[in-house]
Amino acid sequence: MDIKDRELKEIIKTLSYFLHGKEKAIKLALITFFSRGHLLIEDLPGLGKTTLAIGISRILGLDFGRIQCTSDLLPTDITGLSIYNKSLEKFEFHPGPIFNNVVLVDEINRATPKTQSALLEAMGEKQVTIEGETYKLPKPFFIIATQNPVEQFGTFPLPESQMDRFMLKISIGYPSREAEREILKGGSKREELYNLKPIFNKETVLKIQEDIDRVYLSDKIVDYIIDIAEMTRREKFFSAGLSIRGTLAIAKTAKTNAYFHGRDYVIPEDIKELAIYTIPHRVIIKDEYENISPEEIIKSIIDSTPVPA
Amino acid sequence: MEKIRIKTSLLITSYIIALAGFFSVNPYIDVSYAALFTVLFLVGVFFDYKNHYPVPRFVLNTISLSFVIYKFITVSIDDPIVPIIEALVFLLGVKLIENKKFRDYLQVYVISIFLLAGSALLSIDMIFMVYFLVLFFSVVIAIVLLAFYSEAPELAVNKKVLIKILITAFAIPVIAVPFSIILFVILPRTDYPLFSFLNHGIKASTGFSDSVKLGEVSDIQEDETVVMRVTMPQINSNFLYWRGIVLSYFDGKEWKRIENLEKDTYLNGQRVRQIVILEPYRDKYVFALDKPVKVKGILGLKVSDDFVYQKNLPVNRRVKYEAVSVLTNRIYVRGIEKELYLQLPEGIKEKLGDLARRLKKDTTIKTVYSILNFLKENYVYSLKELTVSQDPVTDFLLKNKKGNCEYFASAMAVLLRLNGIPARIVAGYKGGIYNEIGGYYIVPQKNAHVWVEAYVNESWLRIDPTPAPIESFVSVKTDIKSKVAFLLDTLEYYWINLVINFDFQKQITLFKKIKENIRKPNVNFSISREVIVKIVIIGFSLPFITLILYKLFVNMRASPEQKLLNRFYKKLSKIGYKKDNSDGLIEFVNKIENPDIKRKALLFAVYFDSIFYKDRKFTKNDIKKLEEILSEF
Repeated sequence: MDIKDRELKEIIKTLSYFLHGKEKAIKLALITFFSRGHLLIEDLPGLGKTTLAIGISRILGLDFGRIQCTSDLLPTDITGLSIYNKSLEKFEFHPGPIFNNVVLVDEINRATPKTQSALLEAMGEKQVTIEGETYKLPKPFFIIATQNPVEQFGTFPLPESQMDRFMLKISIGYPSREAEREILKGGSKREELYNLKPIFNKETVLKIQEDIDRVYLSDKIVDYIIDIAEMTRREKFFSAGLSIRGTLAIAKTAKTNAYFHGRDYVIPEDIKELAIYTIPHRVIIKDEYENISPEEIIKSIIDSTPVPA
Repeated sequence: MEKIRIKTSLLITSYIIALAGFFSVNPYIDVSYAALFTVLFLVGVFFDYKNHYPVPRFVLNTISLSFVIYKFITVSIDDPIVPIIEALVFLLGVKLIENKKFRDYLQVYVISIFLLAGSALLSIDMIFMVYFLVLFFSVVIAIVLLAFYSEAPELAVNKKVLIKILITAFAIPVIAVPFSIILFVILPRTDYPLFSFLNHGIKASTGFSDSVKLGEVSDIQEDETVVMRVTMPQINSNFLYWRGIVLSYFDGKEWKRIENLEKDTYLNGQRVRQIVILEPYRDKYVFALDKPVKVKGILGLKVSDDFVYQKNLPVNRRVKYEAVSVLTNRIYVRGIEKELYLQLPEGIKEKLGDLARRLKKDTTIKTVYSILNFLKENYVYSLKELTVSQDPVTDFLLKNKKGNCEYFASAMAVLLRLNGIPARIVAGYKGGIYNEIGGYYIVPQKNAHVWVEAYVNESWLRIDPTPAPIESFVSVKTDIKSKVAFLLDTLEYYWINLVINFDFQKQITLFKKIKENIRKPNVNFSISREVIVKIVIIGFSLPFITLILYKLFVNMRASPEQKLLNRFYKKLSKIGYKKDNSDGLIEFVNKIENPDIKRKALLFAVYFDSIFYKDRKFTKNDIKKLEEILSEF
């Protein structure tokens, strides 16, 4: 297997020019992308989510679509719809913005539950069905959804069960003082971003995704993942622990993380590094412990699970 | 098709051999030894099955050694056979639980054969023949398998091939027995090489002789028979000159020995100890690495100032002796009797004077090298079409220009003497093949060699003018056939070394004593002594067995990689880094601040992870490599 970890580092480096001091977020987004998962960013507006999405689509040579969610957004606004063409005398399908490789769904919690579930279904199935016709979504397909945690009025926050469909949940956070100074001095780089030269193309990206599937996952590591999952299921603070989809996501992202480190086998560090992004949004905390952050509990669980060696 | 590992079949054959040896003596030994052997045997099989040997070799060696010493001290002169056999049974058991290498396999076979031989001393039962045949065939098969095993330890072959190998191995003794009986009857048994060079004028073969005669034969045959086996560490082959005799008087055709006094010799170099087993030959000189300063183990040995060691009688049977040599090509000696070493046969000055003068240079040493280079460049080494004449040196130098070492050395010495440089001839052997399995040099007759010592700057300097390549003296083939030959030679070596007592007289007296003792019933063996012996045996074996059981239960669990990992943690915890259970290996290593230690630890961690998390088996090589990294901390 030809591991392209050097090129991946190059990508992270290039993108961090546009998102100062946010290598971690870029890397996590890329890991999600190469794991064939979707990313949920829970953050305040104006911290670079769009830049991240555009950057990833540009540098990987993919096309980009954007959906700005509002309460009156309809499912067909996302998936597209058939319109009658008079001259041809038949219905014609007009694909919606979801028919792109990288789709930014901004403020997903503003959309109505109906629209949300249409979107989540498309994410899960990687296809949409409109008036009996099934349309395959392009490959690769990657959704970055954002959710504003502060504004709660008139929004429909994603229920926990839906959050599970996102492979990672991250937040970008405020930049450091130095980084912000750089941003202010440099002005807008949006134009530059659009002219970014791709490092990969679609074929390479798909090839890497296939290679990642072949990263070796030892039984020892599988047991380690199950150990962690069982700990979350037994944890007294949680009313629900990790689902099967959750353990699958852990294994999948661990493989990608190993690949990013230039390895063709998974080690416990790959899992530990990502645990606070893969697990917290999948567990449900009991009402009486609402003030405890799930991240902290996950950290303590990881720190008490022995590694295989 | 299912593959069978050679090692497995080798082990099974070895078990059969060990059991045959054991059962042949089982009725005669004390039941405690039989029980002890059974335990050791089973433990050994278990270790082999697990391919894990928890008891370190030095522990086993110490136990064996102390046991042998104990047996040696307590053995009664009246009845030595049974205690010796019991000791051998114990040694065999210990050998079986070792992580067996070549030598150990061979030792298992040899001990089993001893046991069988021992059983023959105790009874004349037909069952002996059964054990004999089992041992006979299994040992040959085992040696063939061992040859394969030595080539590729991990070799696995499918059933058909294995059966083929076994049939071939089985056929060897079947064919060999009648054939060797014929040979045994037909061939007169002799202690000497059959064709001795110089004794028989027409046919000549390579070999050592006490004088160097030229100009009588035209062809020399190479004689492959072994003249000596020398146990010593392997050394640089440039130092492999086995000194025999020094000759100083030349009558034109033959070099002869005239002894001379040379006091205050001084040597400077590395000292090497050798155990030499010299085969019988027709002369009385004994050999050792150039320059031998001490030879022990032979009665009535005469030592000369030119480091020649001489028995009072010819070596007409095998002798074993210990020698200490100083590896150097110089003997410092102040003042020699120059006339003796400048002597020349009559008339040679007129014929070769011109040539000698042409080779003269302004200093002695330059003249020496001028002659050496002249010979090496203009003359050809050959064992065929040698100069046959009344004046062989002149004809060799001026006409034939072809010769073996004797011609080269004689010519060199004559040319040196013509230039006023004292010179003498040294005869002995050169080179030898190192048998790594047995740890000794094999020196064949064909390696007989003659070289020159020239007196330069108050020292005798060794000069070898013969242009034969060093490979022809030390070359060794590495195919399977030679491997088998080597193994067989090793067996012969052990046989010679261990079975054949070098003092036959002693053997005979011992044998007589045994016979007498067997005839008269031994009743004065008191009970109390028997009890003491048993207590000592149990005392010896109890901690040993406890140790094994302890290791079994505690250490069996820990695989070699786990042990390595534990060592790794231990080393790092010594410098203050303790790994948490939940820390990944690399994560843990990354916490180390010291960049040097961190780099090395990372090397270990990455290598370890790459095998451990890929579910690959830790090979011996991996373990070794990891140990190497670990040892660098």
